[in-house]
Amino acid sequence: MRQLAMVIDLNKCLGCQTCTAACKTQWTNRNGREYMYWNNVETRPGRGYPADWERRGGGFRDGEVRTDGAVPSLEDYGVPWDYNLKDVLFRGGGGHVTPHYRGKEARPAGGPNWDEDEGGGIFPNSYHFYLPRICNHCSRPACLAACPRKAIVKREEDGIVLVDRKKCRGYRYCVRACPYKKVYFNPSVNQSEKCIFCFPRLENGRPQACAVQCVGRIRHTGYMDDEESHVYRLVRQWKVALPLRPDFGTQPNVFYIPPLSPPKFDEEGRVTGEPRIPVEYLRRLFGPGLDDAMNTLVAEMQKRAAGGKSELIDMLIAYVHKDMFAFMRDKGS
Amino acid sequence: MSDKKQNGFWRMDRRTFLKNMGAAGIAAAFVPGCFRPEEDKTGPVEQVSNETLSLYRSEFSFTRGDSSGYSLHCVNCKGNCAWQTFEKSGRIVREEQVAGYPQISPGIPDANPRGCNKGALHSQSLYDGDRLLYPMKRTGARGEGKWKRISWDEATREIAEKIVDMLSRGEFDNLMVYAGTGILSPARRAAALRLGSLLGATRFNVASAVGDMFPGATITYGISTVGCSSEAWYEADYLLIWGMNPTVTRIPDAHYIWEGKYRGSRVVTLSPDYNPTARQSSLWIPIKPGADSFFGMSVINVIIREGLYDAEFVREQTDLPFLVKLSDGKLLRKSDMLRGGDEQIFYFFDEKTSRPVEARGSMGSKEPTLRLGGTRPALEGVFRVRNSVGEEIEVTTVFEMIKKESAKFPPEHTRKYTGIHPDIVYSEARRFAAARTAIIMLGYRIHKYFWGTLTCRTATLMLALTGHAGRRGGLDIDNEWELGNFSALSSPKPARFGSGFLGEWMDGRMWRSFLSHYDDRELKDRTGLDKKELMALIDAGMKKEGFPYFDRPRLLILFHDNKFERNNAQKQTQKAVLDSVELYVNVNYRMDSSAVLADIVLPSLTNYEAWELRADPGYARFANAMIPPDGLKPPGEAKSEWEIALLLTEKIQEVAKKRGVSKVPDPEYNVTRDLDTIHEDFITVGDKIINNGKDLLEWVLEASKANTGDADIDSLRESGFVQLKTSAGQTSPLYPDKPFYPFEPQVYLKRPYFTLSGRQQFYVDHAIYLRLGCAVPTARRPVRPGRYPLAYYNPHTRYGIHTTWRAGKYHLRLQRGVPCAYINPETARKRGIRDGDNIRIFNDVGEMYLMAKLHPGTPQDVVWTEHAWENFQFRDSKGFNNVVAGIITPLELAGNYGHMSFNPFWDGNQIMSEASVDIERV
Repeated sequence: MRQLAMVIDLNKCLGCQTCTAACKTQWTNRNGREYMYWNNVETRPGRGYPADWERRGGGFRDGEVRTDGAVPSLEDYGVPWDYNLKDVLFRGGGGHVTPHYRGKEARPAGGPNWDEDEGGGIFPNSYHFYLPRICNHCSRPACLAACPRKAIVKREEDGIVLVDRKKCRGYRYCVRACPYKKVYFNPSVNQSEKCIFCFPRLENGRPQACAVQCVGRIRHTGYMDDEESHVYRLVRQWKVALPLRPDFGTQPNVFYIPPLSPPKFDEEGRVTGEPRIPVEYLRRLFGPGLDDAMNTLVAEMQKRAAGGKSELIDMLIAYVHKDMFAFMRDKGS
Repeated sequence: MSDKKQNGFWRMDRRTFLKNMGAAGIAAAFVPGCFRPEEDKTGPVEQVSNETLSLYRSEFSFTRGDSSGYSLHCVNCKGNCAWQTFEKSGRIVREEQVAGYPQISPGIPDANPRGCNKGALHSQSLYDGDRLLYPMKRTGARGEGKWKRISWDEATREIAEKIVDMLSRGEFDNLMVYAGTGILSPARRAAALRLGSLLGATRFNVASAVGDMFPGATITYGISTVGCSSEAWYEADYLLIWGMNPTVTRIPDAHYIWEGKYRGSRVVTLSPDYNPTARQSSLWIPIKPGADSFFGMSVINVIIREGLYDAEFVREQTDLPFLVKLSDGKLLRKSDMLRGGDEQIFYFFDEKTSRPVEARGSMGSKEPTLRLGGTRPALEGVFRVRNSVGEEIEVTTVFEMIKKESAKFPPEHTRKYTGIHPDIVYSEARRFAAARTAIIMLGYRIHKYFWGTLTCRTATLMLALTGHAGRRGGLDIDNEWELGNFSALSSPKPARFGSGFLGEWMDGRMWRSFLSHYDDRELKDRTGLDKKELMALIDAGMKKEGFPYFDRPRLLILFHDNKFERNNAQKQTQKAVLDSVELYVNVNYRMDSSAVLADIVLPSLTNYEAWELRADPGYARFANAMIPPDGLKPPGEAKSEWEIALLLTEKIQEVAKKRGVSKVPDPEYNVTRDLDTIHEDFITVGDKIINNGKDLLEWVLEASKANTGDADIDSLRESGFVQLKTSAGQTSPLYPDKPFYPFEPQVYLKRPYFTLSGRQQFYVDHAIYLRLGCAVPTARRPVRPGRYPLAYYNPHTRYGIHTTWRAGKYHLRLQRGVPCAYINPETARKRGIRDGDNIRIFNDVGEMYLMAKLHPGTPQDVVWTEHAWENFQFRDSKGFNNVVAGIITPLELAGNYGHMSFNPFWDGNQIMSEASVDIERV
């Protein structure tokens, strides 16, 4: 099986949500998907999207897929509220413009980016970073393992995990089994849906919307067996790109360059050598490869800063936008 | 257009959706049923069904539309990004970046794909509930939101009648035709400018009206369109990001900063809160709000004390060797040395010949060069020179004055104002001085503080002392490219061009909140002026210093200006302006906080429906085009600004002729306002008749040839953009293969700067500056009143460009859904405020209600919300500026002084970050 993969550089991520917007207009602004963000960007530390997804179960335990978790509620995902603009501005409805849902005023209590920029720590040693998330198109997909209908397919040609619209009956075992909560239930068709890695775009020679439209230029995509691709080199060769929560056991194919952070201050306000983001927090998110990855990254940056060459750093800088998407070469475009 | 008219995948509207949900409702539908799943018996699937594939394929093809065009989104953004737009059944269905910009050099990352979330969601916003579709007339109380639809004929007739009434009585000063920052692109903006220019109407200097001036830069360089292309950020060795948050506010360009950091640059962010830019930086330096000038002076203190300055650069490129008379602190001028001598010629002391020598290159000098011609200007010393009447007078150098001033600000001393540990100042000052290339990115926010002009001068002085200029870096604030000369289009006749900050101050009676909010004793202590004295300087600003103000508008025609949202003391200002207005017309594509207050609204186009070419935002070297897709139909009766102005002139001409009004004399400008031919005058530009947006773009392209080459509508239909030519650089050549830096002609060809002194100018001996003790850069404490415990400021958001897109549901779903205030958790705890609570921010100026957002990156003595929510998003429409008192800084009231004389680069600001407030749980 060939596997398409993605590497997301958390050092360059601006948290700008252009990827979220690009995905929204490409796939989820319609037809029962309004509440879904196949691509979201969440602030870490934080509850994430859907709220507290890390604590909702799923993944594998002792080789068995876990389907004992709860399906998140609409509030956990965030109500896709609308606004009474017409009423207040054009029809003399009075009051001010507020969020509404199903015709009634709704006081927002959660959402896909609710804790944006908050993070943790105590001023002036506060810290945060952004974590963009899509379906990991896992090599061992828990959603697939949990589906009683065998409606979930991992494609031979590219490893993309798809829910078959003909077979899915909307039982939502996949929603419970996915530890990343990246399978969603579409109530309007009573079926599950998820990120499709933009396969129709790929067929047209266009990279995924979240990747090619990323303004921070943080997403590299390509086939893992293509040794020329950035994804191969960053994941396999340099080992600086790490899976998210590898302990869930699903073998994700989206990888992250872990985030550096500016130094903390001591009590007198002097600069210390300690990064703001606690290393143990990053280790929990990105697994045992974290320390080596950080060391490699810092060493290569120092080498580059001293005027030396670094293939790794040049790759992360990404001089040519198109080079970030190696499969474009496969397509001969 | 209703959902029913669309085909394909948009067909299911919310009603249908909910019906499908059944009575149980959507939340219930999320809970899996407790039934036994029907297991699949067909064995493992290897291929996904064709239905699945074709569903998503056809959705994708739907979003590529039937026809496509090009556009960009910057309404008042420094972005400027080429996007492709896709049309289906007459509507835009999606957009995507063109991402085709060429790489300028193998060592510099390319600019692709540019854009941001606002651009990526514009296709959703332009059909939202606030879109204006028809001309409408107010039927209810002002702002109540009650309207009746009227025809274009009715609307333009009512406006034309009023215009002819007023102009036939010569009441030019009371007619305002003003294009705000919602359209800054040349062709569309020209419609409003041309209309106002033919009528002799008043308008404000737009950057000053919104408070986007950089007077500190103008003082130093003579102009303020100073900056680099964003590629230069990549090359810099030291990047100081000061009062700015480019990760949020320069989204298309920010990658160059972080790619530069990977390459090895040191990126230091200086800001009161831990913002998204700080989180990516090499070092974040937290500073107390408004204390920035102390940081600058402490760095200067270290640079001078440790001898880290570049003496040769300073001698040649700055006024630091200029001589100052010890007696009165004024510069030594030729008029001192020679009876009848030029007041604009200055001296330095030549170490080689031990005598004062006239400095070349000043405004009075006949030699436009900075070359020293074998002299060696002294930087230090006290000298005796003989004046025109033969007296010996004592003089010293500007450098000596600066050295003396900076000695007051060692890092150990400034710490109590800035909160910054001295070790940080020492180490950063040394790194900054030693860097091969250093750039200071100074944000627009800095000049929103009372002493912003001083802070900016400390930044320019840091750069000057260390020789960071030309290809070694410099100040990066607001570079603009030159596209062409459009004055024949926009200014066929003189208009009444007024000072922005003073105009808003006068029209809005802003002194009321100034007088109530600020404390006389505190103000005197921090500025040397009490309220009465500052008010007298404001008055003198108009009467003596040359800042023009006409009169309050009685007919107000605004094009894309959200005046009633952005002004300080929002509710008070709004009432004061509207009390004097008899007819208020708003031209807009959406019902914003200002349109909703109008008497007549006229619907215009958005960027996707219009024709345009935009080049001026000076970070990326590309002019991007707006070319609507062939099949696109603007909704309702929306028209381009040009067509709206054209209809107005047609009607003015008709009404004028009927009333026998023809040519109205305007003696102040020595012209006549020709109401009987105004329509022909409007549509005829040179030998061209311009009827619509496309004609207009053709004219603009023709006038831009020097900077765009052969670009025409056909070529732009292919690419969506064009790379600007070398001549598009205003302050330096825009080399096709190198990052852009300002002032290369000054640094390398020794041409004078645009200042009185002809050099980077740090000494200002204007009476106001001498009186305030600000002749040289110095530091001053904030003037915000101490009786409220929290500083209040409002930086920009990533979800809007000012108010544009702020009320968009897709944007708001990614935030808290309602305006929120960022509060330190400890500050909140002390007041019993929890995250998500409704809170009130208040002071004696006003109040506003927001949701509390607890934010560990915010200091304890600050509360902030993002700039420019719409007023109608708040209870009682009390918007984000409702608690901000009016105030004017005296440093921006000096005029008639060389380059510091009213012009687009020399005007004042709206001070928005100098108020203090308290908060409480509601």
